[in-house]
Amino acid sequence: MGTTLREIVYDIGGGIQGGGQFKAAQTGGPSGGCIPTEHLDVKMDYEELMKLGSIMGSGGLIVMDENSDMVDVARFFMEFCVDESCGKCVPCRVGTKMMHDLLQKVCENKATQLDIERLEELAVYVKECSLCGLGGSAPNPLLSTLRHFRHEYDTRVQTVIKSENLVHQ
Amino acid sequence: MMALVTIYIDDKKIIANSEKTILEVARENNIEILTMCHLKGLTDVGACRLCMVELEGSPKLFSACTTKVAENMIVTTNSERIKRYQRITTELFFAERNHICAVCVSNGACELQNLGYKVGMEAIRYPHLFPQCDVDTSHPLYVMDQNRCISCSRCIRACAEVEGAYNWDMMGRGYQIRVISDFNTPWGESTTCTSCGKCLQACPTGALWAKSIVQGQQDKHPEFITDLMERRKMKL
Amino acid sequence: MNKKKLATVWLGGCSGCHMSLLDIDERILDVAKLADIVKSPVVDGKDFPEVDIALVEGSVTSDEHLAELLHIRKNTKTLIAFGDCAAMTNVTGMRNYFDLKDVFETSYVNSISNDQEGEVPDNPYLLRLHDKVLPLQECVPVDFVIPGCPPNADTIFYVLFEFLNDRTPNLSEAKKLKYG
Ligand code: SF4
Ligand code: SF4
Ligand code: SF4
Ligand code: SF4
Ligand code: FES
Repeated sequence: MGTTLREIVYDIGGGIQGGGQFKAAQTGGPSGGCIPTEHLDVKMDYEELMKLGSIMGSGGLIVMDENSDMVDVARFFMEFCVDESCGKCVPCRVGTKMMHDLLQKVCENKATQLDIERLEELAVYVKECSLCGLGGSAPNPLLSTLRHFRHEYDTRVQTVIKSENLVHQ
Repeated sequence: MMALVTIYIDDKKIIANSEKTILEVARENNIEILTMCHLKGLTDVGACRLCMVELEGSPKLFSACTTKVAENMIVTTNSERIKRYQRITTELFFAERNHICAVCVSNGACELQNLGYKVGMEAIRYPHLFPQCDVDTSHPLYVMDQNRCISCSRCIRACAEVEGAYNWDMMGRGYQIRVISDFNTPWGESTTCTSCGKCLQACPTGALWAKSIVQGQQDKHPEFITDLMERRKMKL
Repeated sequence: MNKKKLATVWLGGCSGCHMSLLDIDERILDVAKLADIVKSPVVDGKDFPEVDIALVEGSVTSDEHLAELLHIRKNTKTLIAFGDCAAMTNVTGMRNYFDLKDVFETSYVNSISNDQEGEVPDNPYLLRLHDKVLPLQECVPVDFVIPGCPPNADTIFYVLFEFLNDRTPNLSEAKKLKYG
């Protein structure tokens, strides 16, 4: 508690494997958020992490170097939540699946600006309307990557839908 | 213990019984809150999240059907945020399974359709999931069409709590949940179903229907379930 | 006042929405006072010109539809998704639950009338079908949606008349929403 992220990564953890550049750290397990380089000096405690849109959660910490694709990271964690959703309430049952499919679309460079808007809208909705904590925190990786790594979403967006993206017989 | 409490719903001051839910109190006072998984008479499960309301002093939203009233509660049912979320929930209902109103038995008499009209949904802004769904026609009188099911569990509760037959249950998890008969066997082979038809009446959509009707002739009466339960409570 | 230009197009639909459009009956005269119908399956087959309003029926099922829709979007001020198929794929989208290959085989090879003798057509001049049928909004920005299968003639007239008079219709307020 109170140790900075930098200390954990570089002093305790011995830095990035293979000498790469720090890009982000995902805290709190699959439904936590991603913290970017600017906030390396954040003190690891409940309130500070909350301010950055992440959580202590399970206490898990995943450190990523510059080769990590943040949209894919969000997609990966969303996939976990899709599998874990119990299916009782609509926001989580349908919302997580929908967000996952949209993230997949972004990863494959097939998404349009409309899809990003849908993602933003769904994320907040699922967070606020879900019945239990799983749905309530499932959008966290998406929300935090949208907040800190927005450009990775924006640069992949297509302006016109392309015929070859629609797969043929 | 029953007590009287003062609450405010959309600026209306109401004296209410503390045993009641926000939804019950609102309806008694003619304040509309949209619902889908709620059916008066059945146990509330808070599953559809359509009835979400704001409570002053909390950043969180609460489902009106499962939250009891409390002293000095200030409830908002019609903020822009609530309306936006009602619309998203409705859109997700439609996008989740395959709702082709044009060829559905419930067309024109469907709670889900009416919900769409109420929230002003002219189109579904999310991509449809288009799942492959089964239609069970094995029952001599009734049909279960997974394409139209919104997993509200009203049929499950009606069958268990009103008829006491426990034919329906929910299988699987996440977006792959399915309402099943007995142990996921054809409805026609059910050893528990008494063919009472209560699940049909409870179902808000075209997922459960009688073979005796055709497209556009749906005539459901979920209030029968409520009536039955009210009468059972009466002391003769 | 300058007359507006109106076009109606029919992509992956059944033409039912256009039939409903014809059901506005003599009110077509009111429309004709305010607009010229410059392109429509019920007019003739010239290229799609620049227009103020386009009613687009049906969903996008193939390359041809997509190209047509992109062209329409470029040349249209107000693009209206016309009917349930355009808005949410509806009946046209019922093939989306299956693999396109299975759909082809069911219709051309395994259907009873074929006695298993049919074959899947493979001609470069035929439409190249997309894997999934898409509603218009998945392909281009849509300005307005008239749901319904088909939409009521009254609703169609109401929407056209509002747009032709430079007002934005509101189906919800006008109590004219209908699916199916
Ligand atoms: S939020 Fe909770 S209750 Fe709702 S579907 Fe997800 S896991 Fe189930
Ligand atoms: S259940 Fe209702 S909303 Fe769904 S297809 Fe049937 S009529 Fe339409
Ligand atoms: S018909 Fe009656 S007994 Fe049979 S499943 Fe429906 S509610 Fe249960
Ligand atoms: S069958 Fe009807 S009542 Fe049962 S869960 Fe589905 S929509 Fe609800
Ligand atoms: S009606 Fe309250 S959650 Fe469904």
